[in-house]
Amino acid sequence: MAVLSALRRFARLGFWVGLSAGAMVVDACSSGLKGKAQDAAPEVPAPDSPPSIQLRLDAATKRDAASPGVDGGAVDSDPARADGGQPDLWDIICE
Amino acid sequence: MKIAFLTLEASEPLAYGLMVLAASLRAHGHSATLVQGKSVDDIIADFTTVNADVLALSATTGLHRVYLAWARALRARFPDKILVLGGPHATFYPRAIEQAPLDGLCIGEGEESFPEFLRLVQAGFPTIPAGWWIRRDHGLGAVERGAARSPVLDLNALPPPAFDLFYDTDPRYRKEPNKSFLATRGCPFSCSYCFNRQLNQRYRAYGAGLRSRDPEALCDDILAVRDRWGLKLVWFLDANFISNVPWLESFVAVYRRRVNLPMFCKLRPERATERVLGLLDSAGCTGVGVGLESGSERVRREILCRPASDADILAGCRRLKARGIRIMAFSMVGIPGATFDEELQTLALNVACGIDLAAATILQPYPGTAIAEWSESKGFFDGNYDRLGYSYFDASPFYYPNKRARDRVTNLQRLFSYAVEFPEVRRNIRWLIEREPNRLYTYLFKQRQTRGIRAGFYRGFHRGRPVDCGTAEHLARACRDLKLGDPCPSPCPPG
Repeated sequence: MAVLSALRRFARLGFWVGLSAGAMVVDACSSGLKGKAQDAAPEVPAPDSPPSIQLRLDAATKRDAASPGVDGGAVDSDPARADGGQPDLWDIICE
Repeated sequence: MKIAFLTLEASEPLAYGLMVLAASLRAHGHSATLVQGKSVDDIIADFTTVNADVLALSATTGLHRVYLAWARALRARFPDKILVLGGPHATFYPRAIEQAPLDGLCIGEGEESFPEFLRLVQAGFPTIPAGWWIRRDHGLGAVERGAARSPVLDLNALPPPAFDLFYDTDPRYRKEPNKSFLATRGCPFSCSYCFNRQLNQRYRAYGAGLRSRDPEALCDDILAVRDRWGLKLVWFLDANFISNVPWLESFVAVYRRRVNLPMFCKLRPERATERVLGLLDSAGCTGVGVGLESGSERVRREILCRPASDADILAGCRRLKARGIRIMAFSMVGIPGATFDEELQTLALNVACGIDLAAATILQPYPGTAIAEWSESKGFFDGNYDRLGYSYFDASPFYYPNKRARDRVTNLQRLFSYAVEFPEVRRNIRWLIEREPNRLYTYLFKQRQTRGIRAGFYRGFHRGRPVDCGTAEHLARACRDLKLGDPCPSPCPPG
């Protein structure tokens, strides 16, 4: 039973990975074709006009990879140090 | 007057508020239509836009950048049309009126104030409408602020939503077997990341707490939608459908007698008592959405202001799953002040609760929320809302000590639902999230998010089999998979 269950699980995981990889390839190919078309007709959506969540996510990934202004700041994300070790958050933001 | 609501044609959920607003405008003798476009050029070229007297935009924070850019372009093309902005961003960041040449900006609920605005704008603004900020001369004048305004106190005084606004305009919404409805407005809770907390404070003076629709009228709407556009699953958008239990009792009696279709609603798991579940059971509830948000009691209590214990959450989910009700859970990663192990505890709690679809978002500090103010005061956020992503799946806007810390959050969000379902992913999640953010992770998330919800919930016409979950042992096992210590210091329900 345990083996059968594991096999089913792997099959499900494989389905999702295959589906995602397939979608990624299809999008890469179609965006390649679009890129050629855009040379002829430069009606590219403005950066602030995402046609779908896909573009938003892509943009997010790119922004993540290139956000030196945000990372590496002097801010300490360790809550103990950031708050001087005092659990004062409740007083500030929780009723 | 002819009002055109202009919206971005994207993977956005249907904007229920616009349908209610359109119905109110029509009841006052105006016409209201919807124009969707993938860019402002599509919108400008649309015949409806060209013919309209009033161009209305509704923006959430993040997408406000799109709509403000649209407003500037629309003003350049239509210098004499009335141009207005409303929605959550306008309500909580009204200074947005300074960023575009708008005639008016609607703060809060517009069903009563929008018709008044239209009457006054035609008369040249002898007074400033309450609930609005305006700029005369089509956005060239200085900002003038109207008085604060009460929300709609009696929802039953509103006309039925103009469902045709979306269902007759866009076949994507029409063909879905599930259709959305809203039974209540307001929320009794004060979560730090949610704007309902500030609305509660604003509306307290007017005596407007949780407001509910008349069950008979609500069922009239559901049946009207079923008969005209088809309906197999009723999807309630309310943040907490079970907040008012006496109302729920009266609604279920009417719903069961008149509608009797499978339904989905959202609730807090710790509030899923046997009494409430008995009611949902008889209403034909097949799935629920629950907010787990964080698996750390400390983070929930001190940062998110959701003080429920792990034990109560586990017990609620256990009761839901024992009845075969599917659970979609909403969790947040990238919470400022949370340690990385606390983020992983969120995964563990999802696993232990037997969640069917674990949806993780990246926390965004929306204007007007307590967490935005707090994170700014603590130096986690610079207060620039123009840096927020278009949606809560976008990059975290908080400061991180280094890129690696940010990448971990991004990757955890992308792989979250897989780690909840698959122990093999879970046991290797620490290694997987140390990789560079990549397109495969993004696609894995996208496929899961769209297809998982569609298959498991939008078409969730039947309940699943009862599942045993939600015990201390389930939580301990998930923590072991994730190499975490004991996260459950409070008494857990017996296994």
